[in-house]
Amino acid sequence: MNLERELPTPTTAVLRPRGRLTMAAATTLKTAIDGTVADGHHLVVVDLGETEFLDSSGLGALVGGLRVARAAGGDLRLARVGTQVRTVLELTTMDRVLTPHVTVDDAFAAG
Amino acid sequence: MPSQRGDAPGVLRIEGCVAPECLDHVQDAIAQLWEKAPQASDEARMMFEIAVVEVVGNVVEHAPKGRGFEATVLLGADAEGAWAEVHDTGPPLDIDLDAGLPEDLAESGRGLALARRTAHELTLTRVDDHNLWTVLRRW
Repeated sequence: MNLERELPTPTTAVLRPRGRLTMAAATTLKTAIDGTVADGHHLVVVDLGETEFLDSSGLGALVGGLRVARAAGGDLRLARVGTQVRTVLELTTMDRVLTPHVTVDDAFAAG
Repeated sequence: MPSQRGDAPGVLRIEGCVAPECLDHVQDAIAQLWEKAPQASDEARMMFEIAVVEVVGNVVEHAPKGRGFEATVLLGADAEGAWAEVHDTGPPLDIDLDAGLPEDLAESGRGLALARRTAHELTLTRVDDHNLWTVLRRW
């Protein structure tokens, strides 16, 4: 997995994990989310448009990131999920908690 | 480690699958498997890959520390569907394959529930001195 971070404003961030988001990569993503939130970017959008594959470890990292962001008064939202990621979210019923948004802008605009 | 289907032609074998990095090798091998099974639908491919990654991930995550632990993944496709066997030399496992999903904000505990929902058959048995996981996704 390759991870890119963009910081549009002092309180927002976009993280883009590319490739496979499985066990080895999950720790990297969780560490990046923790650091991003600790730096004051409490509203984090994870752009999954180029994430080829998500497993339960990657999903766990997203849930952990959601907890950290909420604890800081912010949120973690998903954007641009593909079929495989959406399937994992739906089969685990986590699409209720981590609602996928069509675009990054939609995710930022969501309440 | 004896296999039920491992001697069939075209079976892919990944040895030494004891660390998270092995998941990449398994996923690369699954991609190779589809070259030999053009009849596999996109849904079957996706569901099989999810199930196998979760089973291998479970084996890797709970692998005993230290030397002596071995795990081997076998992948194949036949007239019935795509199948996987994961053999490991760890101690007997006491795992409830029918366990449901954890609470919403739990960071772990969804893997086998996900495997159950994506495989048509998922089994765990103790065979001689090793654990044998099997995954089947029918066409």
